[in-house]
Amino acid sequence: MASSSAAAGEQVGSQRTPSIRALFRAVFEKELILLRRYWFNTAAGLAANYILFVFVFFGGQEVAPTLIEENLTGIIVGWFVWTMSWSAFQDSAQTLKREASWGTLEQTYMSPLGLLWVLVARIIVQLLFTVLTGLVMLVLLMATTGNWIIFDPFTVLPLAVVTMASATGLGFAFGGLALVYKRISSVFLIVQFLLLGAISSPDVAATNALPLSWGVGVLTEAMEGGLSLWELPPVDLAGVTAVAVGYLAVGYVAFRYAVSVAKRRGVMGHY
Amino acid sequence: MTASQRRPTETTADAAEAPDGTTADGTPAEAIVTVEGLRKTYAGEEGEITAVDDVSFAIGRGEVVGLLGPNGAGKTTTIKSILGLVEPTDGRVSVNGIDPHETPAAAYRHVSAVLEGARNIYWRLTVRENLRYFAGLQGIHPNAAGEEIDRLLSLVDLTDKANEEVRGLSRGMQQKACLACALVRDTPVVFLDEPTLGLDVEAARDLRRELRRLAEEENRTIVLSSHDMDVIQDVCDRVVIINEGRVIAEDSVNALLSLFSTQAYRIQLADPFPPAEISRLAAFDPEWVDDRTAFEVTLPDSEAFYRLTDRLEAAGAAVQDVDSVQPDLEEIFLSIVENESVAESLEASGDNSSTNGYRESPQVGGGDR
Repeated sequence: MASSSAAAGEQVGSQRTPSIRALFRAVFEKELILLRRYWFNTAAGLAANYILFVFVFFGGQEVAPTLIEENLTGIIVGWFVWTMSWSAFQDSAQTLKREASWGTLEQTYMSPLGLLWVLVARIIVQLLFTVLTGLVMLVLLMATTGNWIIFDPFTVLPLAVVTMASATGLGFAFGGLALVYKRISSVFLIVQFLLLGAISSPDVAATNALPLSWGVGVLTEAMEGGLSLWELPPVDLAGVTAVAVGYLAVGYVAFRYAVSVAKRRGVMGHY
Repeated sequence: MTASQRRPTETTADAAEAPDGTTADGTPAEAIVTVEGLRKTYAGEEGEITAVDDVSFAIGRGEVVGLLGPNGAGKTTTIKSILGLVEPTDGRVSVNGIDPHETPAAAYRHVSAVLEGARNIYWRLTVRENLRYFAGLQGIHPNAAGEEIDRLLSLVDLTDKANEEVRGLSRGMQQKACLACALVRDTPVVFLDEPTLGLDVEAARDLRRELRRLAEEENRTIVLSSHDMDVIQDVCDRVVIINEGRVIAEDSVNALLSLFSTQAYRIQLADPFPPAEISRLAAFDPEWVDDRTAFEVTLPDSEAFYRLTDRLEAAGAAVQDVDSVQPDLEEIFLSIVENESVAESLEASGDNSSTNGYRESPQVGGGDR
């Protein structure tokens, strides 16, 4: 470390190979600290989401009890995915926007591991925490509706992560927009409802390219039928993965382009 | 020296190298940061705005260099261009021979920065948690950085506050925490942009002390931008003065202080200077004090000093004492910047009539002194 290397002058730091493992450790540690320190914020967010579901579920039972009964598993899975995907979108878009305003985005950009690795580390760690909080919500939803879905975690968790990845990709694209055009928070709210629309879109081939849509369909199928990952149609698995990779790639490219525009305009650290 | 527009290669090649690794004019022999013909323009509502215009300088390994300039001079744009955070319109920059715009990840093994005061770190994390995170961001395992983190906390005098959230600290402590987070990245070059910005007098003095300690104890290249002259004078070996996007002076702090102190004199007379003879000294632009028994004057060379004493003798004034005035860096800076503006406006108007030897030379201390 520098105490010894400082004496060596030019040898300070620059001779060491940066470790990706160290980066993952640091990102995980930071997210865990914030989750524990601000658990009340997370709990309040979950509670608000749960109360909204209670209104929708019991209100729906009054208006159209048969419809709710017939689609209950789909509703639960859809709500579960929507909760997590909104969180995934927020984690990327809002975090990038906030970090630009805090001035920490410039520091993040200045990692010798490269921006891509830092973002990958964040995506993985944040998705992990999002899935954990999503599972808490899922248990609450099942307890409230009395509809206990037996699911295989080795099927549901990877599917949920891959499904949410498209929301993360969108988050990067919108986070990039926020770097260039600073006041677009209201657009983020609209995206929340667009994601809801994508989740509840009809299960037809034409909507498969939408974010979340195909993934929610496959996830519902797996949970309703108690299917394992290897029992699902390979075309569906490949398709859901392709959609996730596509949105992540487009989101990352859009974000990089926005960063280059922000650098040209000199506004990357502006707020 | 004024209006230095030399290319770094010229400065290093043309001047003889001193034992401390600098050339005779204070520029570095072995540059770790180079800026060549840097230019940055922005599209404004009323046309193109030039923030930085053909800026060139070089910074040697282990140097502590101050980037001086008034608000809006182009200091931050220059720094962010060197750091790869602002895309230059023209010109080249390099850190340890690496262009951060071409290979940013490689360049960031060699450079870190504190930008714009106390931003840049996570206010909801403690000081120690921030240090661990920034070590990780640099690819250093947070646990492996433990000892270094303790050392840095001690260096910036934050050991007692290590486990407090940054948002609960005073502004001065927050800025010291930012400084420690830049240092934990363990790079040979550190940029500090306006480290004392927004601090009260006491906090600024405290941070200045930490920076001085840092400059003495850490064998790193430090580039410090500020319009707080005390910081620059206290901490830096050399200054690059930027005004309106251009480098207008570049020299060691000591050389500037020495150059200006030998040009500025306070002359004490035995008796008040006769009012009828006052026009004899008009060309020297004296600043009278104490009922015309003394005056301060800036002279371009020794010839001018002899002409002045001749005129005093002709006026019947007896010189009792001559003192060389010791200006501080702030006065020198103001003098250089103001002189640059005067020269520019004269050039623009094509009027050279009032550009005599005295006005052309940097003036120490104006009416505000």
